[in-house]
Amino acid sequence: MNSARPAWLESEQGRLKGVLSSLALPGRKEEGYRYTSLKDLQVGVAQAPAASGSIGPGEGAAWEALRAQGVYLADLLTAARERTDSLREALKLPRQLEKDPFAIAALANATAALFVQIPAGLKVDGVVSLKSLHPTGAEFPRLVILDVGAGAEVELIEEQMGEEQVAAGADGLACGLWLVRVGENAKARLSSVQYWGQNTRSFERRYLSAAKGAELRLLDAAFGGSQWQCRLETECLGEGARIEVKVAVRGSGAQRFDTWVSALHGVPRTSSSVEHWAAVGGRAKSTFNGNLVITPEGVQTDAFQKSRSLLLSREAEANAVPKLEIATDDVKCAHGASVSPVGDDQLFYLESRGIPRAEAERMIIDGFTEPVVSLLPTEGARERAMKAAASKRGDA
Amino acid sequence: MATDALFEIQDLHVSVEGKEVLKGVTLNIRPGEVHAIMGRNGSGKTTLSYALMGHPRYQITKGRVLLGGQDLAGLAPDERARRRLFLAFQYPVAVPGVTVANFLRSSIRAVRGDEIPAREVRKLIVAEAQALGIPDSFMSRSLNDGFSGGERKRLETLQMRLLRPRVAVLDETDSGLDIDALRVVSERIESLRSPERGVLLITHYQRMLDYVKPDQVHVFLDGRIVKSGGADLALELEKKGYDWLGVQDAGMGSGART
Ligand SMILES: Nc1ncnc2c1ncn2[C@@H]1O[C@H](COP(=O)(O)OP(=O)(O)OP(=O)(O)O)[C@@H](O)[C@H]1O
Ligand SMILES: [Mg+2]
Repeated sequence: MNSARPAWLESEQGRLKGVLSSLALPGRKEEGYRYTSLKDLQVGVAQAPAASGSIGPGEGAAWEALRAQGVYLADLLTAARERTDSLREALKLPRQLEKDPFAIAALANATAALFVQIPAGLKVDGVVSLKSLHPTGAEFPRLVILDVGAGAEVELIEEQMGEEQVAAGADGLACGLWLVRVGENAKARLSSVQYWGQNTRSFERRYLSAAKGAELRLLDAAFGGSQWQCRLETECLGEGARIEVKVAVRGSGAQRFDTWVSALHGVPRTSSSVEHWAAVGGRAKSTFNGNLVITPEGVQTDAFQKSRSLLLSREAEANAVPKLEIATDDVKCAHGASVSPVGDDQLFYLESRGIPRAEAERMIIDGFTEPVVSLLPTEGARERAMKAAASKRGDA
Repeated sequence: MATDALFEIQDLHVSVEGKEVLKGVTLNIRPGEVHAIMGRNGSGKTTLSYALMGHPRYQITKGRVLLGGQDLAGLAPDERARRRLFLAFQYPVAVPGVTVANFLRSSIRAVRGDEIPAREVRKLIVAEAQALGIPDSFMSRSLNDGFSGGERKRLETLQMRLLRPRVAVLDETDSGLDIDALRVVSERIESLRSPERGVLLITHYQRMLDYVKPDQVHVFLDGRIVKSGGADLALELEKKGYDWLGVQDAGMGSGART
């Protein structure tokens, strides 16, 4: 890594730090934070060099092979030198996240950052696999920027790993920001799997845009941390754009998960689909906060949103708050939410097919992570995720 | 007669939520036979099917059920399934997140063990699904989730085909099917008829019985069999309804239940 920070980046990050220090953290009454407590939280306190953590190649990932195909993959400072203009453009916060303290913190303080560019027309062979490592107790601001050129195709996964042994009181804070822009007729399949250490509070922000005819799919699976709030802002920018989001959370103990998705349709004939699956045991809580926004220009939008939560214990809790803001009649929308324990009728049905009760129960519970986990792009990623889900069974 | 019976229901009394719904049902199915049960809404047909399969909420207060001479009392539903008792549900439940493919593989393995080599299982599923007009795309969908009524019934039939039961209880498998599907599903049921197998077919209509000819027809009213006869009885019921049987029905009467 080259540590020379170009002046423009220095000043941009300085400006963001200023914005951050002038922003008060949102309170419980604010939209989006009703179920996520920011109590005792200090964001952006750690000085960049002191806060550590890294983004590196995931298991079996041959970044060199990707580069040989023409994929650009570089840390922030290298990219700032080598791809100044495109990076400056890519670093701009979309208006949805302009005032989001966590997005700003990630951008202002990013100690680990990766810029990935897929040139127009390139159909990437293989998976861009990233592994982010969060050390105990530290503040970890993280940034992933992905630009997919017109007609290109790419598959990317980031696995977020934390250290398991966390000293009492050593709370960690992870703020992650993804800025993803998918060009015309391009295809991107993205996955994120979260395994932070048990005392880590994390705030993920992802902006995902799809240009005309582009197809974007995001899988988000979350298992770790004490608190996880993931805010996804999707935006269809051109006709025929399609964005598909599938989120699965599996909670146990006293974990808190808050999935906050906004899908924006501001041009004709675009589509989005949001599926949220949560299985929570112990005293864990899950929230789904879904917003569907269709502007008057968004005619013939086809949008789907569904949240399902499975309660595995008496004390577990789940909420779903779907909101629609639709300014035209010419749309096709479906949305729904359900919260329930494992159903006796479901168990009986599976048992009547010879499946013993314990296995039937396992199938139903795993069924809440499998729709996401089974689609992860590598065998290793699928196995790790299944293991993480299985390890929580005792707490059901 | 009892000795060569495949499936014997003897004086079965069943309570649900403290209410007696079945008030003494006796019925014997010999190997190779198809029996039909017809009866008003709320007369206890589904209750019978659940009790046979061992649903924990349906308590047998008296009587017993024997499969191949063995008492099923105390056996969990999965154990009954492994003894090759099968129930096609009137209202198959949705199990979000569990794919049809995964579910079918698990149940085949559970019921038939190593009978079919693992690599044959997929082929078998594909062939049987095709025969029932179930598209391949259904395999990756969540079980019964968002399936239409008719699609669910086809899937029940597929499971019956794949699990090769000794006794199949089919609870209104014909309802919700379109005319073509009814023919296809009936044909799949009929072709399962064999000298070792028994079928108990619960239905409201004569239609399916045109394809799957019953050896006996039983009329169910208020938790009891009030009349039994040959295939003609179904025709007679279709014409005359249930009133002529002259039995006071404590259930829903002749009004349809939704
Ligand atoms: N779980 C239950 N709790 C309370 N009552 C029940 C339960 N299951 C069945 N019953 C009652 O038992 C009676 C018989 O119901 P059942 O579903 O067996 O009727 P059915 O003959 O299958 O009717 P249909 O032709 O409408 O399917 C009805 O009065 C029903 O309301
Ligand atoms: Mg019924």
